[in-house]
Order: sequence, then C-alpha cells, then structure tokens
Amino acid sequence: MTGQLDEEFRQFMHGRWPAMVRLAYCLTGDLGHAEDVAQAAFAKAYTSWPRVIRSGNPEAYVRQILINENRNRFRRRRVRELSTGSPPETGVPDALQHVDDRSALLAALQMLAPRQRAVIVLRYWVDLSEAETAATLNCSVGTVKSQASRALAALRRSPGLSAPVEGDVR
Amino acid sequence: MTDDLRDRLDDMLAKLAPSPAPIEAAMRQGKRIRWRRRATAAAGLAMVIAAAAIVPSAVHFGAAPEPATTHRGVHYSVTVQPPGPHSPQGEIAQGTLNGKPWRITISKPNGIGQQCFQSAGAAVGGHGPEICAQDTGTVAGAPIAFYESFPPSDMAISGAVATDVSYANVTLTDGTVLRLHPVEARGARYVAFVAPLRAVAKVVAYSARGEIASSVPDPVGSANFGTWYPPGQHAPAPNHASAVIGTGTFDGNAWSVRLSSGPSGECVDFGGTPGCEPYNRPAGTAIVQYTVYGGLSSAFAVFFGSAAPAVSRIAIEFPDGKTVARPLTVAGQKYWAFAAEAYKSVHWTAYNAAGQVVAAGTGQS
Repeated sequence: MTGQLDEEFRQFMHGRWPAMVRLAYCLTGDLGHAEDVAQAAFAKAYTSWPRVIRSGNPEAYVRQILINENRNRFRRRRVRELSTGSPPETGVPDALQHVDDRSALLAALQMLAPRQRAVIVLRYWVDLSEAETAATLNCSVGTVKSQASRALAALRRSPGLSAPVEGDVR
Repeated sequence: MTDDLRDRLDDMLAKLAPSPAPIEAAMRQGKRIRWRRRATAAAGLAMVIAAAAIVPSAVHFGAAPEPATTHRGVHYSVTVQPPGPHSPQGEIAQGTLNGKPWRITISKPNGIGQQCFQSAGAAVGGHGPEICAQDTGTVAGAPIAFYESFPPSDMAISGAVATDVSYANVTLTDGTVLRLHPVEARGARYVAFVAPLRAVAKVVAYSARGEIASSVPDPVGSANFGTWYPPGQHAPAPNHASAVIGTGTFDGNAWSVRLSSGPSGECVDFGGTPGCEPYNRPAGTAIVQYTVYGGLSSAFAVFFGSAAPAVSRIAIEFPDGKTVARPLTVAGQKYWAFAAEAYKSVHWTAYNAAGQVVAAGTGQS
C-alpha cells in the first residue's frame, strides 16, 4: 500500500475510532471487548483499503465489518469468555441516578438478542434508516421492523430503567 | 418519539472514554491478515491440486499424530528464562527459538476483568497478535489455563497458573523439555513460552510435593489442553484421525476444511491460519462453525458441521444457487462442509440413503 493510502487510512481511523468503539460498546457491553472488535474491524478494512475508499462510504464498510466481527468473536477459541449468567450491576440509586440509568440501559441492551441489539443501536444511535440498517445487517427491511419492535418492547419492560424507553418503528 | 432512546444512548456513550486509536497496531494486524490470506490462497491452491489424488485416502485411522509426523527427526533449539532486572513491566518470560529472541508480557489494559498477552521479538516476527481474555485465572481441575496466539510462524503460549504449582515441564515432540517457573505479574501467576508450531507434546505441572497433573494437546499440537490427568494416569494411547472434509473453489478462490480427532477431542482447521479450532460435536445434523475467506467484495463463507449417522447427502440452497455436500466419516462420526456467499443465509436439508428428509436447518455467516 502506498504511503498516501496509509496516511488516508490513519486519518480515517483517527477520526472514526471513538464512534466505532462506542458502537462496539453498545454491542458488547464491555469497553475492552469493544476496542478489540473495533481494532479488528479497522485492521480488516486496512487490508482492502483501496477498495474501501472506492466504495465511497468507508464508514459504512467499517461499520459492517465491525458488526460481523462482533458476531464472530464468540465463535473463535482465541477470545475466551466466562459468562456471569447475570447482567452487569446497575449502580446505586439517588445521587448517582444518571450513572444508574446508563448502567441500566447498557444492561437492558445486553439482554437483547444480538441482532435486536444491533438494530436498536444502528437505528437509534447511528441514525441509519431502516433500509440502511437492513443493508448493514444483510437482512430485509421487514426483519429490521420486526426486530426493532420486539427490542423496543423488551426495553420498555426492563425493570432497571427508571422511565420507559420511548421509540417507534417507522 | 425516538428522541428519548437516542438521548439515553447519547448520554450513556458520552461518558465513554476510548483509548487513543491504535492506528499502527491496526495496520500491523491488517498486514498479518493480508499475509494469512496469501498463505490461504497458496495453501488452498496446493490443496486443490493435490485433492484429486489424496482425498480418497485422506482419512487415516490410528495414524501417528500430525505433530510427530510433521517434526519427526527435527530438533528445536528453545530456551525459556524468567524476566531479567531490566525487563519491561509485565514481562512473564523471555527466551530464544532457534536463536531468535522472544519475550511475552501481560497487561490489563481495562483494569479488573481482562488480561492481554503480547509476544514480541524476532522469533515471532516482531510483534505477535495480542491475545486478550477474561481474567478467569485457572480453571478447576487444570493447574494451568493456557492461551495461545499464532504469530506468522510459531506459537506463543501463555498461561495462568494455580497457586500450588511450583513449576511445569513442557515436552516438545523432539524430546526437548522446557522448565517453566511461574512469575508473579499484575497480581497473579503466569508462565509463557514460544515453541515451533505443532511441537508441544506434553505438559506436566508439579507442586513442591511432586506431580499434580499432566496433559497432552489436541491433535495438531496447539495449546488446547482439554484434559488433565492426575499422577499415575495418562492420556489414552493416541488414536488420531485427520481428514479433509471439504475442499474446492468458490468464484475461483480455493478453500479447504480439515477435521482432526484425538484423545483431547476434535478440532477443525479452515486453512490459512495455523490454529485448529476446538470442535464440540452436537448430536444430530447441524452447521456448527464457519469462517469467511477473501476480501470485502469477494468474500465467501465456508461452513462446517456434523451429520447424524443416517445422513447420506445434504442439499444446500443459498440465494444464488444450490449445492450438495456428502458427509465424510472420520473416527466413526460424519462431518460435512461447503462454501457459499458470505453474509447470506443458507438453507440445508439432510437426506438418508432412501431419500427421506432426516433434518433441515439454516446457516448464516
């Protein structure tokens, strides 16, 4: 790869790293894992960087790789995990109510099925359209609608959230 | 109406402080992936050329394990030393492999909950892949919980050690014995070493009073030590089998899948990467694992699974076509593999010899 392409990659990764880590954090629920997944996604993008650039939307490319990386990571032996069988603790109430809300939302997200979680994050944080979400997840728009609907219903039922989560399926 | 959820997500993520972007590390990792893809292509091409000749005789029951076959008559020069006075913080061990230096360090970049092993030095091509895992310490019944990584050529192996372990002896396939002394680092005890790929034959852990347990690695000699045996007991006599379950080309790109079975279990090798993934065979017919080959625009997935004894063929339908897989028997069990376009769903139907449907399901890469 030429020096110019390398430099373009550096600038792109520097600029988009925080957003990709945050996306991965929503999917994994763990900052360490999120950074691992994000780094792996950027590394894969780097292997095909000229093609990624030609796509005209490198961010969408990396986002799709990241989602696939997250889906694959539990199938690989070299990332070993022990499941705790319970969601993360949800903080302490009152003075730390905001912290509690954040923890509760993260815990509620982790209780969703992986695809539902991805739909929620892509639709309501990345702000993708239903069609864009479907393209990113390689599924139909109908699947996005149904998964979003079920996910929102599950979030509304989450006991740890101090107020109901509002969202619609457009 | 979605603003509430959007605000909550924004609020949750605003406080997140990612580490600085590991740009150079990602580029190094990308170069290694590219290197492996080239290796996959070369190995796959060679496999395809050879497949027509070898597939009918690819199943070897009761044959010698691959490590011994591969390295018979080869002598390794491996040294392992504890960290020195000028070693970097977190170093577990250092040494040489065939004259080239290596060192392995541990870090806990995210505080409690995760440990990361990093190998470095000429023996591992400069920097090996960083392997991170939940900080689970040791596993009940296993005096050492090993993790391995695969730099371009050899294995870097690190392990968390139980408190009663005084030292461990690692025997390589050429008879070399490495003595590993646990090192305190980051609040726990660890051992580490670098060895030639598929060259580890056995590990024995000792306490101050004598042997605690021993283990042999999986059939291809990785650091997957599935079973530890107490003193006086030993792993069953090797009864290894290894077979190419599927091989072919997809859009001109070669692929292959090999299943290996031995006393420590089964593992599947998709080619390209030197490791062999542990395989937990479910009952019945199922797709269990897959890997994605190729670049973004030419990606395809290779699926691998087990089949029930009655299954004689499996019809697979994917968006752009269909194919048929015929299960292959290895060590009395049936396995199957096929390639399809990546990131798409496939539907499969398994039939018995009479043409009756035995099972059906879907797969998604």
